[in-house]
Amino acid sequence: MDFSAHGRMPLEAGSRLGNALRGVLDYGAIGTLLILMTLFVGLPVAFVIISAVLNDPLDVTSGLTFAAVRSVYTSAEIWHAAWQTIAMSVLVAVASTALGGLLAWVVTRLRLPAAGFLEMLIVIPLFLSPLVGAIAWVALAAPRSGILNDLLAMMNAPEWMRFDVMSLTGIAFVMIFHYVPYGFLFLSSALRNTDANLEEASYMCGGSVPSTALRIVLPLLRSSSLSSILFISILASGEFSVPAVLGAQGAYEPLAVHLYEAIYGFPQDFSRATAIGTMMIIVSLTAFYFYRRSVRSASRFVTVTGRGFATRRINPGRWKFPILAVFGIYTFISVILPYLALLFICFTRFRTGDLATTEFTLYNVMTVIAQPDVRSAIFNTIELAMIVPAICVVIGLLLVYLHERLKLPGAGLATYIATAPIAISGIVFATGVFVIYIRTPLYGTVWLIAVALVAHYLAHTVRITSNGLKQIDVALEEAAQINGASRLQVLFSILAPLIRPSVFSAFILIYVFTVREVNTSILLYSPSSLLLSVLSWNYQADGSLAQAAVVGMVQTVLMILGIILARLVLGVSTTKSTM
Amino acid sequence: MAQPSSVHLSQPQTSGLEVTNLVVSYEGNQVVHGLDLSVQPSEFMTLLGPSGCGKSTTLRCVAGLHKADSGTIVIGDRVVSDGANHVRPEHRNVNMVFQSYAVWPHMTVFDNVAYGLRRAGVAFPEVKRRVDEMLDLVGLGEFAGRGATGLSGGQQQRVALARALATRPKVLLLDEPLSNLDSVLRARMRAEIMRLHRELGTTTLYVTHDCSEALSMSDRIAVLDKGRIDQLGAPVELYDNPANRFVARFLGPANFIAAEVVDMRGDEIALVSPVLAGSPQFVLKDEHAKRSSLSKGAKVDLVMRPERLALRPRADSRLDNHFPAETIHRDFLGAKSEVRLRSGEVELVCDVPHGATSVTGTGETAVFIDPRDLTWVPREARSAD
Repeated sequence: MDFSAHGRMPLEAGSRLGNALRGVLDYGAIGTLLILMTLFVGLPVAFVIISAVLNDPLDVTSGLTFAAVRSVYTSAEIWHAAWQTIAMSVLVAVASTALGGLLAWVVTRLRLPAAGFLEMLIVIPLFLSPLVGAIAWVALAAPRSGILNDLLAMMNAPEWMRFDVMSLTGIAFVMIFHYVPYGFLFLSSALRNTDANLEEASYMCGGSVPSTALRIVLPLLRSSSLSSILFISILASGEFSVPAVLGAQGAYEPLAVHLYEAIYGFPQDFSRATAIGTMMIIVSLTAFYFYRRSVRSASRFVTVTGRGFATRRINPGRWKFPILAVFGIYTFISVILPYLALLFICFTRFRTGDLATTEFTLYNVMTVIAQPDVRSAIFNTIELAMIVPAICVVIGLLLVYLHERLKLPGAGLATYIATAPIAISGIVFATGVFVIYIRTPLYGTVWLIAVALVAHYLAHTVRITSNGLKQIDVALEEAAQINGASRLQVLFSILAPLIRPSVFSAFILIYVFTVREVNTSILLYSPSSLLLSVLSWNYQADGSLAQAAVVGMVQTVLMILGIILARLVLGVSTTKSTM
Repeated sequence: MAQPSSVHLSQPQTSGLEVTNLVVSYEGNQVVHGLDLSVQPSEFMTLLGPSGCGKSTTLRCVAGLHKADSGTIVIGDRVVSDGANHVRPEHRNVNMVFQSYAVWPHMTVFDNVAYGLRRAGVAFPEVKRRVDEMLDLVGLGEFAGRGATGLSGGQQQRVALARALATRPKVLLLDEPLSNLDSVLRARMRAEIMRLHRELGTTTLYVTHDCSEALSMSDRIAVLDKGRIDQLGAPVELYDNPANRFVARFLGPANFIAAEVVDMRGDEIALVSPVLAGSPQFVLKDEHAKRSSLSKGAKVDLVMRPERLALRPRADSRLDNHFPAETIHRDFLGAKSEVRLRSGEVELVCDVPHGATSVTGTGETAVFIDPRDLTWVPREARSAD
């Protein structure tokens, strides 16, 4: 066919205009995101560092001074705290990764009844906030008044059998059990993505189950375990509520507690707080650097195929009941015991004598409910728990879509900034938000807390939605495009329905995190933006453990209601939200 | 976009496709270097080549899923890409079958096929009529209400085909559509695609690395190597008269024997191969203009397809196209045996059909090839096979 004979239709002007318009939209979106990320993520981090060297940490024009930095970085007490923080965080991370990894191997490789239910049991402790968990353990195992110790005393058990949760081991124990679900989620997703044929080949070569686990599984999981350890270390190093509540009679004071005391102590010292903040940033950024590297090398071993491997699971045989018993004990320690303790102290009057004389009462519940603060705290918590996941998901999706699908320049940078706060402890990030926004009308509102939490949790939504997007074959979108769908139509008719499960699980995860969060909000709340978590912190700081427990139960009820709603209405499975 | 409802199945919309001087980069590397391709209306054209030869990239440029650096793409009489401006894929009125099928898992079979028609604003009764018609055509009439996830690979591929044809595209693009199917299904789908092409007459651009698919389905084949078309022509033409060693090898097994031209008369060329035992003389009939590049003393490679070689009990050195050889190995493959021979410095493979008259055993033998079955390609510097 000779096209020149009857002339060609040139490219129509319409498509040029459309392309130009799309360009403006794309770069507008990228620009807006970059500005938002800089304002709400970059600035707070920068200001932790800047304020540390200002005469007046709340005034940029006040001139430089290194007094606070010098006093912090030369203080033996702070160095001791830093060393303790690192040691404790790494210990907690190693232990919870080991436990979580063991449970992950059992759940993914052994043939057990109700595997889905067992998996749910492992992640349930996620819904118990570390603060409330610590309160429950004080009630259970405080050296003199703890319920368990009372029980032991009633049985005339010898003195050395008594529990003391307000000790270094106690703190480590509570933190380890809090972080086991994290280790489990990390390693179970790694195990699911590792071809089980590698293990089956070892059985074929005569390897036993333990020797295969030791020689094949463990080396394959080395990088994933390292990522899990570093990730949990970062989280644990910023955890301030558990050591603050359990205290260990001053034997364990991590950097986070020093920072809190600088802000809430007398005299209030922001310079010192931000200077300690810089030290925490250095610690966690170092861990973060190695975390990124370990994640990269972890992907070497992972075969991402999108479809699961059809694996023949090992029959545990006579080990079945011992293994199920381990799950029972784990659930008893991490869920049943703490919640029983919480219920117990909610409904008993302050005890002076032994357990036998306990009186049950509604007094605690009534006093808490009578407080007008509580109602506004519930309302604020629900508001925050709706705002934060919603914004996180929208921004996270947009970032991932612009970066991974449209591959726009600048989107990579925006994503990088957005995921950086995962390396910065909540309490440090809150300090930065605090010094920037204290003079703005945002201060004292729920929105200020929302800003800090969104910035802090964005990394989770980016990770979950990005994993979700990677599992969607690009050809599905291209097929829609070639069938005449515009980019928006592709977005709404193909991408949105396919990525919905990831979006929902991201939403649920952030919802739970927001309801139980205390490390950030403790610095940013005001009487008009009280939250349940802050309320329960304040109660326990005043010594009213029972009221703190009541508030903690309300928090738990909110989380459970949210999850049930999500399950019923949206059909989301919570255990599948990969870390 | 043309009004789809104005066209009926029995009256296919035929448009040609013209690609001129296409240059494409992929992740920083230039992968297509100035490719020219002209597909006639209703033609079945195949781009054949090894992975990384630029065939899929070319296809994606035609689809609009990838932007070419330069060069023009014309579909029908409409320029869709001229290097600077690109019509977006949704406005090109082409459709594509993907290697991974890309059947949307969250929709029913019906909704998958109806998708393009709905985007084009076709009214529902017409959508229903045409989707049903397409599903009947691919034999999935009863599956309309089914979810797409429960389908087998072959069924998904039929859905993908129906979906691509439902919009009555000016050009149908197929990107290795059979590579994920097992061999039985592959043969069946091959027949299916050809039947649909016969019935609908849609201009088709088909990408594959499988030479039997290309040979059996295409009107014409373009053999691509390293971002360039090495040869373009009808399947038989390419098989019998490959332009070079690469094309000869890619279309099927071949023995390459070094030879030198000693005489040329009419359409006959006489050559001597010093590497074979007894330096035999060959005569070959070259009806193509290719020989115009030859002169006496030129060094070439003779191409001998294994199935064209005939084994004889004994060599007669006075005959042309005849040389002694030694059988070193024999693989029985059912319909034929693959016999490995040595003659002089070279080893070659010869196919012997299975039957009562076939020569068996090993040892001394002779090989004969008909002058019309012999062809040649230019000698290349690197001849590592």
